Amino acid sequence: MIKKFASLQLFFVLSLILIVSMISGTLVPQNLPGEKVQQIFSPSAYKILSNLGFFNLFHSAWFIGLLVLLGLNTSACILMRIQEKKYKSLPWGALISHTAILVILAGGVTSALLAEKGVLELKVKEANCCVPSSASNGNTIHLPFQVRLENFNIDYYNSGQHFIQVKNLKEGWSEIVEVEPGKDYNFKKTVKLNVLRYEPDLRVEKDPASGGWKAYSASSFPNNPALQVEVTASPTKRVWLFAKFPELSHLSNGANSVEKHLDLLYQYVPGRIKQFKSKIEILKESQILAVSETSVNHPFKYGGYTFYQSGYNPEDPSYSSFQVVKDPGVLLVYTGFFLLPLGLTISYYGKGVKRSA
Amino acid sequence: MQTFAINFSFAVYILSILSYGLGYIIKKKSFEWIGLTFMLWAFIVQAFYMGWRWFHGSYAPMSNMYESLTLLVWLVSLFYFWFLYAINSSEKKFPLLGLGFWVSLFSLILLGIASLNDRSIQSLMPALQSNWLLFHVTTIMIGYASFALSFLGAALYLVCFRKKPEEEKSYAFDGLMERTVIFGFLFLTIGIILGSVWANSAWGSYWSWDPKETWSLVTWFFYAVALHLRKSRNWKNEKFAWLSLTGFIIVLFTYFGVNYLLSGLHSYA
Repeated sequence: MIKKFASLQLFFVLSLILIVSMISGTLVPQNLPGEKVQQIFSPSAYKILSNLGFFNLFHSAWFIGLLVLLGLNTSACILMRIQEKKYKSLPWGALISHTAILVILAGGVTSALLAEKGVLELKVKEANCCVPSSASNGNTIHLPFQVRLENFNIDYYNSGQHFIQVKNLKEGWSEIVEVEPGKDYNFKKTVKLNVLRYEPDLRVEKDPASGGWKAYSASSFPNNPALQVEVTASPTKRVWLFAKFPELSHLSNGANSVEKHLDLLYQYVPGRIKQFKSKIEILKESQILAVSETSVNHPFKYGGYTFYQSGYNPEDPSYSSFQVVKDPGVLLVYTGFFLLPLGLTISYYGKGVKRSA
Repeated sequence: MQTFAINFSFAVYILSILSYGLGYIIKKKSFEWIGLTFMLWAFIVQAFYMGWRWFHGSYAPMSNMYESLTLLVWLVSLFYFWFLYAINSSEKKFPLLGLGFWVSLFSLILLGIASLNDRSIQSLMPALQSNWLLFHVTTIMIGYASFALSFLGAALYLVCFRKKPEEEKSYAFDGLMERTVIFGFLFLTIGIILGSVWANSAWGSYWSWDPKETWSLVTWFFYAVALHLRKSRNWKNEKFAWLSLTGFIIVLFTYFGVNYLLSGLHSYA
């Protein structure tokens, strides 16, 4: 029985099937909602592929079965190697590297069976202990403590860039210029723009004192970037240009009309994000047990759980999300990760290894 | 510095190819050594260029296709110099000297492809701000560079020695294929492992079956099978050359194809 499983032929066949399966898994869309997949494939093809588990290939029973077979094949090979009497000393490199593969597979099985993974979504000053599972049919994770988002910040490498395109329909020219608030710009000597101010998240409300309209920013996030400019043409007029609502920015139509032949278009290019950081507190019965800052690549560990900064909402600066993970398989996988290169190094670069040239 | 480094490298690779070609035509070995010297110049300038980019960008220049390709070109030259020195046959010293022509041509093509990408030094996105970037990309590129050399050796073997495998020089090429595939396989393994550890420290998942991960595992399985075939079924010389060629085609798809054709966690790479 062991001999049958230890066959190298089996390894070659399994590897070939695994290679073809994995390639298929990258070509066929994975884990998409049924309706989306049905738009790509014909009904008959969808039915066949769906029954074969091709839309969740890497978690399908047959793919896992292949990995189990690979594990059995590798185990049998290790046992055969140990039993064989032809070696003066055991081939340690091969034994270690093959054992490493088994350990990694065992880690993967442990993760699949025992890992808890979920996404915790919080708003600033909000606390929660229930984390919805990432798995479609997984149970909600009930943390033995509460996690509170104390604050959330996004750091930028640079502030956003503002571009204004002026189109003169009568004279048939168009020019685009990067602008900065507080500076003047001339376009073909006929149009002068004075960029007065920038509001990243423009809102307008009535000023009770003066009775007029007051413009202000609701947040520092570029949710509704707007530039106020003074256009010196004939006549001079102050207008707001909106990056997200270009139809309101054209001077040639509607309320902002200065001259029928003049169009102004405002483009806002947001600054590149450097990092997003959350300050989180661990609470139990209103008592703070731990405080930490977490960002991408800098997770925070507490009570066996690890919190990874995973997302933010560009429309809502108070929102932050965390991947919450407790995975006992990681230790096994990392052990295998350590053993595999060690085994390969001994195999190929150890004492007494012969090569062709 | 950037324009100088790229233009200088292009120029010396072309001079290297011409020298090798001339040496081949007029049967003068000295021209091959001149070609090798030109390669060495490109190698030195590229080393300075990568150092300059590292200094000015304040991160290891391995964050995008342009930077990783530049590193790959440099590593292919490095390993070529190493194996040129390390592999000798009993009759002939430096039997791999002629391979330099193909290494120069390959480097020139890769550099041309690199130049089509954005060359500017860009600020790093949050996910890439980690020391794992240096370790993961370097090890993977060492693996790819080694496989590239096995591919070049295999191509030359199939052209020159397929019909005469007993020729003394063919052993050097078979030895090159074996050594580069073993070395590449070891570093591909380490690279995949480091990438996995990085993914776990950034996202909390050491394996997500994203297309790049999956294709790197496909590459790993392919070379694992190739090495088992060589050791247990004696697939050497021509058979191993075909395996090396096929393996590198898979490497190319993993490196380029996945980035441009399949989307996933590595879509910035």
